[in-house]
Amino acid sequence: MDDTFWLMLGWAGIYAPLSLGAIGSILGCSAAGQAACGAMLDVETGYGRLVGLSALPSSQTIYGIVVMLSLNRPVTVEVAPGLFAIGVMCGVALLFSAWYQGQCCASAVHATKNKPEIFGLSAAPAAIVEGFAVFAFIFALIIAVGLPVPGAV
Amino acid sequence: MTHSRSYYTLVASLPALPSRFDAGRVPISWPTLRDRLRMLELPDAKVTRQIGRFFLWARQSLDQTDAQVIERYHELMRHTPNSLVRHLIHSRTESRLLISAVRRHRMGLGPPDWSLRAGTDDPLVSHLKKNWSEPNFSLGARYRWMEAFVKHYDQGDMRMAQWVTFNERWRDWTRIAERYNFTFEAVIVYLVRWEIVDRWTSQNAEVGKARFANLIKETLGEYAESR
Repeated sequence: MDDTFWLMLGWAGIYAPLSLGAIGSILGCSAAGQAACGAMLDVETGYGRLVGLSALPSSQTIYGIVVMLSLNRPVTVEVAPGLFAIGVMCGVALLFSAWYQGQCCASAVHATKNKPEIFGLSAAPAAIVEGFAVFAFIFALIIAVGLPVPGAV
Repeated sequence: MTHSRSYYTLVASLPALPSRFDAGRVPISWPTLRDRLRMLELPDAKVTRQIGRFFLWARQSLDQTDAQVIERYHELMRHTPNSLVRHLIHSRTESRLLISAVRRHRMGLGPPDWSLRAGTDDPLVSHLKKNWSEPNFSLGARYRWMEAFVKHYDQGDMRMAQWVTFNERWRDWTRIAERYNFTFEAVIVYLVRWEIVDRWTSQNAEVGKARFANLIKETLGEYAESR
């Protein structure tokens, strides 16, 4: 197979954590943000924490940036499969965690609106989902250390 | 199976309904609710309007016949792909027609001749015909509300008879509500439950008005009548 194909996969792997994480954050923040806007129509106070909850899924983009920087290196045929595998798998995990975290946040907004005293507890499911994104992020960094850096002494 | 749109803003803007339909007031007035429903996409808004026209008592024409209601039912079922909306149309029509069967029976009329299945015999109507003289048409096990409804109906306590049907419907739709979060179905379930609370509380208002009128009449006697 042409080397170009493998090089393309390598570059895709480097950029995947950021792009897929960002897509997840877009979906998650959009869902939670829309719920926050709706809830603001029905409550008189506490707008700030509703908007704050809806911003939770943005952290996956930050994790994606860090993983992308840790994977960033000269791409060769030898290193490209590893970059692709780590980058894409980590990106997919970040995408789904942000997306579903957004839905958790939307539900938390909805629940908090009707019962403000459960604000902290209602955010717990979103925090648990965040935990899985952190796992994917940390272990991507650890695994990435094992990838060779072409040209390095 | 059809794709259902998400309505995060709309669903989150709707205030929580009371835990019991008879334990509070309507948390959102119809004009405000109608304003919020403007967030629905056009096809969903159309479906909502259609089922509203079919079910809301205020929009019912008093001179429509059973045949017209059944024809409208078939038309709605033909054009509604959403399974939850189909379930709503079917279950509400079925309970409405069962109540109509009880009334027919108490008026000394025969079993109904309508069919909820286009072009074929309706198993429910066949059952009614076979069990027309049985208590509760032998449907007590399938429709748990029938026995209590018939008891209150026979005692002339229409308010409690209606409470029984509302209570059954409320329990069903509260259970269904747990399955949906921010989809069109969640909006439909909310509207169904809102309508139950609204009808019950507005009925209370009517009872209140009648009681108030009686009090006035008792207090003022002939003077009230002459006014």
